[in-house]
Amino acid sequence: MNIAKVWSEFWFRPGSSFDLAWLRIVLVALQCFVLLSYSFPMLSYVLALPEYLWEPRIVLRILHLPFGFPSIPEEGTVIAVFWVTFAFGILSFLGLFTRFSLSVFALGNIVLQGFIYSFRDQHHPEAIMMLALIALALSPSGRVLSIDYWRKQKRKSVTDSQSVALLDLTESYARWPIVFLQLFYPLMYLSAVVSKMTRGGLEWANGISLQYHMILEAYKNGSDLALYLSQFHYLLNFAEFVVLAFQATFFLILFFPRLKWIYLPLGLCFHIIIYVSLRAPFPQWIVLYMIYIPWASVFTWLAAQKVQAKSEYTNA
Amino acid sequence: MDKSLLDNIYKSTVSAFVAFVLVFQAVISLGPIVGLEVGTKYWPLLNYAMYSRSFQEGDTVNVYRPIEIVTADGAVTELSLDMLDLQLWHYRMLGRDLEDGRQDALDFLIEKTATASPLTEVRIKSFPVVVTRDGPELQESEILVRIFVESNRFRSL
Repeated sequence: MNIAKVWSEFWFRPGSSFDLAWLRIVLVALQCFVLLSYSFPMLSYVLALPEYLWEPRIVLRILHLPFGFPSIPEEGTVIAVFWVTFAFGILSFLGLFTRFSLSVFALGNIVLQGFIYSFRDQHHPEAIMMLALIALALSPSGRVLSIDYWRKQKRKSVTDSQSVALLDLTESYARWPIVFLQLFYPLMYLSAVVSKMTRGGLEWANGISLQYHMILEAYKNGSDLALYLSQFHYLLNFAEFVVLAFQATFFLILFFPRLKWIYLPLGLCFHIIIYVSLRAPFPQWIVLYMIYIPWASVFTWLAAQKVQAKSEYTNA
Repeated sequence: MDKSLLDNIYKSTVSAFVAFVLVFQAVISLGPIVGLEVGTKYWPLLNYAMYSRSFQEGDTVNVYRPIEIVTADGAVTELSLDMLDLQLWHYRMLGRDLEDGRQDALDFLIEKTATASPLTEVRIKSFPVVVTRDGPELQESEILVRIFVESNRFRSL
């Protein structure tokens, strides 16, 4: 068997259209919320920064290549890009001209976030969302649960009895975006653990490091909880070992899928604790855990349980 | 266009995308093992090095380094984030830029503070908190760097 065939069979094996469409709906909804709650105020803030801080990100330079080195755009232009992006976000959510809408939405988000990050300040939560949006734009994520699907069915005059159950629908190109994100996730955690080990080695897990970060975030974000927790040396020392073990071994869920029932709840707790105590928001990371759940199977199972409960009730 | 040709173009495009992103991210993630530090330069592909530095008891918690200005009339003012309309990260950056002698940073500072009396000195101070096993401990803020200013320009010593 040649490599191209193995590659093609791995990436383009049929997957659930429902899972992909559900991913589109949830991610686009979250990103629209992030645009309004975080990006818009940040755009207003960075537009007022002194010009000397402007160092356009490589991604912006590449996108701006045909027009030369990017200068700081006019405020009106930035605001226009924001609202166009948001409008296409709504269309992507509804699934109208889905591929085109998602392409504009993904590009708009990369431009806006790249612009915010072009003033020498850079954070981590948004990157995976940008990649997820590109993957969704390249995939048939509007195949179901979309206005496009509804219009197509209407054109064909498909009756209820002829229509294929949404949850059972599979497609060759519906699986790869989910697998891609499932593979990308462990790389982020490996990066986090490798950074810790190469900077300070196991010395990072001395209890003090996490106490330091707790105090830092407590003063930075005004978190009383972080300040309170920073007093518990041994608890935080234990937490450091848990964090290292979690980040270093998260990739195992790719090889032993059942481990996700341990890693996903642990990871959720991990990110929620960070959110609540350090007030470091990583909502994209929390929501993207959904890629490890086979939603079509979950909903099918739930529907079966409901039917069973109903028939038991009728028989009784 | 032929459907199989379209399929092949699609598969090639997707393959190029996933291969590029995953390989590049793997290089960035594992690179530090062999001394390759890419940082955040290629965002959205970047190193996830948040909270990765290790610390020792007694280390000053570097939330930010307060910036203080002294004017010709002897008045000393510690600049808050609000006074400069800056968020924390950019406030920290301003301190570093002033230390590096960046005139544009000094111009920004002068523009924002607009003192009646000319600016003569900028001081960068330590944040008054250290980490201990029992939590944070307050300490005196020390002057770490003194930058002298004359006629709105850095004065070389």
